[in-house]
Amino acid sequence: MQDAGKLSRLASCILPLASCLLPLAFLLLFYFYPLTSILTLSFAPDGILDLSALENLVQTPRYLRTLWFTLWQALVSTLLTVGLALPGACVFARFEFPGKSLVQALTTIPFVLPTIVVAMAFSALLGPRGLVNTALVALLGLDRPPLNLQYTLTIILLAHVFYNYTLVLRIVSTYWANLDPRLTEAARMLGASRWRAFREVTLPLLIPAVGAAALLTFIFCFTSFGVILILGGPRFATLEVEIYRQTINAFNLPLAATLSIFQIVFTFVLMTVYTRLQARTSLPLELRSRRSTQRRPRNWRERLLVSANVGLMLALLVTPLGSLAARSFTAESGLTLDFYRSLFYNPRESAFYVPPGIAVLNSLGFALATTVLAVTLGLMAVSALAPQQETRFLRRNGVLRRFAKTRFLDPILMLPLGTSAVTLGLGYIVALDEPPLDLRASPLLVVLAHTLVALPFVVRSVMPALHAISPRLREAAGLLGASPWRVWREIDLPIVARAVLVGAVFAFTISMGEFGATNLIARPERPTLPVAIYRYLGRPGAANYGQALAMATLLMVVCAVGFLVIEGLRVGEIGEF
Amino acid sequence: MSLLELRHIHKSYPDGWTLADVELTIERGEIVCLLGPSGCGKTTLLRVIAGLEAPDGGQLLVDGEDVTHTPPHLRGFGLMFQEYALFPHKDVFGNVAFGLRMLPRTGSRSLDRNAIAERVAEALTLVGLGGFERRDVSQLSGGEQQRVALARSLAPRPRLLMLDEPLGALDRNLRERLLDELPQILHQAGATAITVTHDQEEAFAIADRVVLMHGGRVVQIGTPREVYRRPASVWVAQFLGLTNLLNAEIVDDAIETEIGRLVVPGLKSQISNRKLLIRPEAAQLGDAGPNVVHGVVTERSFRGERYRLGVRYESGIELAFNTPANVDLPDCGEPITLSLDPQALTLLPAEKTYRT
Repeated sequence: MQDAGKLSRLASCILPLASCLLPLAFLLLFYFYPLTSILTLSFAPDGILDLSALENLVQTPRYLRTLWFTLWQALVSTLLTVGLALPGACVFARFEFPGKSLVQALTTIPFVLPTIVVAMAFSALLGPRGLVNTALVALLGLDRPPLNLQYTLTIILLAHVFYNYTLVLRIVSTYWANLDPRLTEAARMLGASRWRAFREVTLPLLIPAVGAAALLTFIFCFTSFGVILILGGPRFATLEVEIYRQTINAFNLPLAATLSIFQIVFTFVLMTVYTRLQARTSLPLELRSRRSTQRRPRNWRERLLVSANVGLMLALLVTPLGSLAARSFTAESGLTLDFYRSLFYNPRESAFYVPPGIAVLNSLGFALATTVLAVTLGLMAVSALAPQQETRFLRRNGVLRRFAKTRFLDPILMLPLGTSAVTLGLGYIVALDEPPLDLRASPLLVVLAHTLVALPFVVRSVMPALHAISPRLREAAGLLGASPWRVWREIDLPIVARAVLVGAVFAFTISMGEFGATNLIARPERPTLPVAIYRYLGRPGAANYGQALAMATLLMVVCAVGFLVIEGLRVGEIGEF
Repeated sequence: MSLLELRHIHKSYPDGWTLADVELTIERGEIVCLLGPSGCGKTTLLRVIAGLEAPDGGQLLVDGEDVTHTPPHLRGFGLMFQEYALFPHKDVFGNVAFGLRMLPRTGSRSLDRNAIAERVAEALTLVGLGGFERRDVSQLSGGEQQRVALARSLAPRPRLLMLDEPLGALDRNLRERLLDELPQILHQAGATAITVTHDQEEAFAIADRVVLMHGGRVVQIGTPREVYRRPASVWVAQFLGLTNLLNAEIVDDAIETEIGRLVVPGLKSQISNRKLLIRPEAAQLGDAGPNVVHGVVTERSFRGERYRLGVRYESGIELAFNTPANVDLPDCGEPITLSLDPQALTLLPAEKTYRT
């Protein structure tokens, strides 16, 4: 009897401690350790402070140009995206129209698409072998593709707009929908024209949301990798691409490390500002329920606004994805399944050649492992952070209690969100290739990197659900006669289970699409789907391009399905970023 | 010429709901109240007048000029919203000054900085909030917010001020006080005003004229006294809380009802009427006068300044009366003889009874 009591008391001490320490240990080993290694490599390669790498960087015009390009392309992309998405946000926030929920779901898909898929989609639409060029050649009888957008700034900006339009649309329209339309009407009644009411009332009130959305867009464009690498070609390089090139092509690790530091400092500053802004968007004004703020368009002006924006959304978001799928089924001879069929066989019988089918299987394996690991660690972290987990042990132990209470695990868990994937990959190469932790040859390396990227998403999906269960719900269930077990089964489980599933699907799709880190750390004989697509793109010939298209289409379908599952499972607005 | 004239205003919604053939004129300096249950169309009518909604048909004249298609910011009207819609990103000064900054709208001159500050101070003093300029609107109490909203809509001196449920969001004590102050402030500012409410007490206290609306139609227009004393229909009577309604049949020069034969003045001109309204203050204890009725007390509840008296008659019908608290009444179950004042009896046109 006494022993059992002791045992259970021991368990109640160890379990929360372990669930707190394991995720922390994971972060220390696979996030902070690699980052520190980068730092050391950059500033003290031989153990003493050495700023020559930094000096070299600042004095070389080429890197300054890279930094400059990274900044201004991000700025232009952000301005374009916000400019295009604001009217769309207004339409979603203020109007009700047939098919709205479908359009809303469609416009959110880019959010979860891997960069490689987006890059391929734009290549399939606007590239030299893309749908537009093929159609123009056929229609006008030309002998060369008339539209030359490959390796231009235009196609990069287009892809960035495609990617982030959704982000701005979602953040701003959610906020806008809750804004009282009577504020604008009040301004109108006080003599403000339509434009003046927007400028003086709506816009200032939207600033936190627009600012947060713009900043997030800027961060994403600033660290853009896949899009620039594939669509920009050799002419364009962001910091991220330069880090990759220095690592892979020049094998100049110290320089890559210094560039990484630059990027980390920059994104961390931006992320901090973003978190501040986001906190402001979450405590706004007198918000109104959406139902009272939305109505059908009433006159031609409103109908034009709605249809023009829905048209833009469909053109911008659906055409590239549609042409990706369409191109993957068309060869010069017409409709074909060849590209899909050839995914699973090795034409050259070469030992170094990895058939794409294997890449698909690799990706699935990595994704499953990542999902298990990320969800396990995520659940541990979340339960350590949950308010009701204050056990007797924690109550007695002041330090640990404060640790749990101040929730400093939460911001730490979010850190990987602000770190670029290529930097992470570089960190793994630098840090985990020598004893005591030599994982260079282990497939585990990819899983660890993916888990790190996915972990914040899992935590963000599950934590709000757990917090949302008010202790009163449990008390109410208890008073209605439910045993503690029934309470857990009927209250906690149904609410949290869906959230855990959302986190799992997030982890899965993120792992399937991860490109930046994987491209650096995956073994040549064990490529993932995105890495294989990139390799195929590097090879000449229609067949290789076709196979890349087919793989990208597969990846797109997997991610889109994953996304639809997430959308279907979400409990209310829980898990929004 | 009337300040505002509505001609055959019509508006219909896809869900079948309509604003039907509304006619209304409003004179300068007058306070008119649109009164009706929620969903009667009063707020929609207000928004049509404001220009926030376009009518499907009809005309809106201001000083004889057609403004049906003038956008709201060029009409020179003011509107105080339900729950106020104060700009949360501006302080009290910024809110009240907003309309003044927009001023060069209908031919009036634009104001310089000092003039704006002066007019803001003036408006705030008028509503009793002098010196509140730099307060944050989110820190104000409900009553203070209401006053800022009023000052904001009064400051540009609109030709016509509209107030949507102006006292709806306030607690009872504050409401009572503002019920007295609001008409004073409006008259002091020389404003022509339309208010909207579902509360008859509020309408009667504030308005010079009451416009009763029901199902998107205007059902009666009159002074509060007229409306209360002579409801135009059974529905109006019921909406005003007048529930003593009897079936009436005209026999010779009197009418036959479920409680007996009653004399009503001015009977000849109302041959086709069939419902009789007995206002609750009609009853006096005793058998003086022409209309004496006998019944049994079913309810006797003390309400401070009066008694609420329930009486059942032989036909089974029950009526409710208010009697002065200083008169002793028989106990429940005891017989009671009451005399009904002919002036408190009104014949109404028979129509199907609306539910409010």
